[in-house]
Amino acid sequence: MQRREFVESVAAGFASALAAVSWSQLTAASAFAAAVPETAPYEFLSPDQAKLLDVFTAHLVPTDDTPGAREAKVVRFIDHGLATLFKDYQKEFTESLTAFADFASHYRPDGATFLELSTREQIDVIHELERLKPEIFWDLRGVTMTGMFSHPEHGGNFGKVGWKLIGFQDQYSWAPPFGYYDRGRE
Amino acid sequence: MSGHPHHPSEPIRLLPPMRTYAPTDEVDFVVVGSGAAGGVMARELSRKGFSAVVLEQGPWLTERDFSHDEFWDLLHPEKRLTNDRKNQPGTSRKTDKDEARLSGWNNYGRVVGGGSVHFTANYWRFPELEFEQAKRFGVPDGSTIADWPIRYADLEPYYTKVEWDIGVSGLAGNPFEPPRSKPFPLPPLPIKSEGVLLERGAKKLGMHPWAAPMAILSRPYRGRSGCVACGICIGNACEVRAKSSSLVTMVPEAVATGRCEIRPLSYVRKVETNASGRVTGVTYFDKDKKEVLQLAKAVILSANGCETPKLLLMSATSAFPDGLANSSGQVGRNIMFNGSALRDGLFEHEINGWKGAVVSRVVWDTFELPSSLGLYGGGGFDFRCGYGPMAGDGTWPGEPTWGSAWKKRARDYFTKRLSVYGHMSSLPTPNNRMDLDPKLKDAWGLPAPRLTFTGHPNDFKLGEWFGKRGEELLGAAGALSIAGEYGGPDGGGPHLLGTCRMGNDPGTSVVNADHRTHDVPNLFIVDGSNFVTSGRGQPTMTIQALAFRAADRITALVKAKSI
Repeated sequence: MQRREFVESVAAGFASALAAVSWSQLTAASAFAAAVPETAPYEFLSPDQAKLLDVFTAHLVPTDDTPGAREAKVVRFIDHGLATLFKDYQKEFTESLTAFADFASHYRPDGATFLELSTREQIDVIHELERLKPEIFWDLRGVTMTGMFSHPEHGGNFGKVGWKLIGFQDQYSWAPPFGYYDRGRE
Repeated sequence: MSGHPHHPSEPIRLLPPMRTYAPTDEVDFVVVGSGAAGGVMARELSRKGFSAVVLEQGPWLTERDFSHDEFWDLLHPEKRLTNDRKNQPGTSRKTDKDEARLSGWNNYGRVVGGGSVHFTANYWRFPELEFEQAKRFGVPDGSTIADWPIRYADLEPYYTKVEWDIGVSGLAGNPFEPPRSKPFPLPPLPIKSEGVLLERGAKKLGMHPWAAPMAILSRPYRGRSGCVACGICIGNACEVRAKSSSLVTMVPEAVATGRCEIRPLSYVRKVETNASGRVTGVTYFDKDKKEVLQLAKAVILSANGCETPKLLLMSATSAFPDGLANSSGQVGRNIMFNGSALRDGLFEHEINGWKGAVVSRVVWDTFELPSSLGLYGGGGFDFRCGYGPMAGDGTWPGEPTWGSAWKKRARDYFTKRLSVYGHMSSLPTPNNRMDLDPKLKDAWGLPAPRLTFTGHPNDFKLGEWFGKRGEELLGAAGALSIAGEYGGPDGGGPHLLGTCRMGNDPGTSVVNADHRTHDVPNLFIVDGSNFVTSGRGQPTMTIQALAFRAADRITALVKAKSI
């Protein structure tokens, strides 16, 4: 997979922005403080968009016996990313989010918005989105997961909760055994 | 003499002082490209006493400029390792009838050191049969496959030289490896869980797994550090100089001769010729996009299988109307990318492929396939999973993709999976080629490279067979579940091969066995474009062996006053 993946590594979701970023507009995001106060204004998202994303991403990676998207500060990552590194992706992202909101508003005959639905209904809507509008689902999922697993210096994966979830450690040097199967072979 | 051109205030001296030349100095050789081949040419020719200027499109970085950060390119675009499609777009189409569309088909290292800076570092020698397949197996319908003008025995000393001069880790004795004159200079890298599982599966199927030959140091060697197994190796440059790239092997040794200048951020746009049909130098864009003419007695193109033919086609004159060195019409043709067959396996216990180098064991029993299969070519296998944490969003067919149910499986998807990777040969065809897009230009106003490519039908069948065999390997290794079904010729990528093929017949090839172009006596081509056949995957080792041999051949020609 690796060679092909490498070739196509900029082909999907958030990553599609990588090839199209306007270099001159870059700001130094590397030191983006994870300590953004909850009440701080958003850089790109409207308050309504942020609220919608908060609930959506918390369904995708819920807080259960381990931390989820909220603890990883995924919405802050998305907001800051769209204002900086992924600026060229603003239009595409906004279209996806709007399409999702529109899709959700057709779930109930009364036209209730996603946030007005019950938790059970919200979950059902996301299942339907995945089934009927997969491109929108995977686009928004990709953005969410980027906020879960990218380096904490970019604003998501706060406290490395994403890395802990998948068992990745950012240690810079390893020695065998690397996994279960090579024990006793080192 | 002057210091390193791009770190004027470098507190740590990473390179010796470097000799520089004026563009009006007629140097012995200009080498276009500083990668796997260009690095070797620079080092060998300067060591043999020649003056050389190496022109590299990209920047000259050091390990202090490297990071495993997934957004490094965005934060530091001046430090990206590969070609940027925004500035240098490409187009591709399947056949001549189609309109070519924007495409990232040509992927190459665009830094001093080229693709060897970020590669996986699989260093497989070609088997002996690779060089005479047309003779042994015939030429399949719809293919232009031919025999090389050289044989394995001609290259063997140079394969060995590659291993010892750059540092390759491995173990002699693989029954499917051709004869070698010397053992590896370094023992194999440590076996990983993927390697143990490949051994398990292969042995059950009666195959012969073996330690992977890798251009990564298993121990300190020639002043460089051994691998620290930091992981996420593919696509990233090495911060400890353990990956044996041209950047840390050939380039500093070329500079140390005091006869070689590496000139980064120099994008060659034309090879200049005079009225008698000889090369006089090259014109390039410097870092400020100003045109500079560098004079040279001879020119060597080591720019890769896309950029080299592109440059020849851009160098057309009234004397060479179809492009320089293209009287055969073969420049840009016969393009091959190798093929891939992939399946994913999920296992019971942790593999943690993200630690360490990518590959630790290979299976080469399938280099040559039984004739009863009716397949042309062959390939080899490895098990691997070198993904970084950005692959933490993994899923598995039939299982939830989000919510608490997905979360409970996310760790398994990340730590307990691997891919079987079948690396395969690919056939050249008469119509598969790269040329210049008639409309699209890059940021320097030069034509974008256009690909016309449809894989040979044999290569799809080969992909199917390797995919099924890969599934058997996964099953025999104990995979709990197997998914994915990709197999066939790659339609692009970093393996850019065959576009200036080597041969004895000036009517069907671009260079002769000395890498000299048939048409221009002082113009040479040394890179993956010379390949007559694709190899069973993993071309870089052979690119470097060819380069070491080419340096000897070219030196002999100079001594014979033949250039």
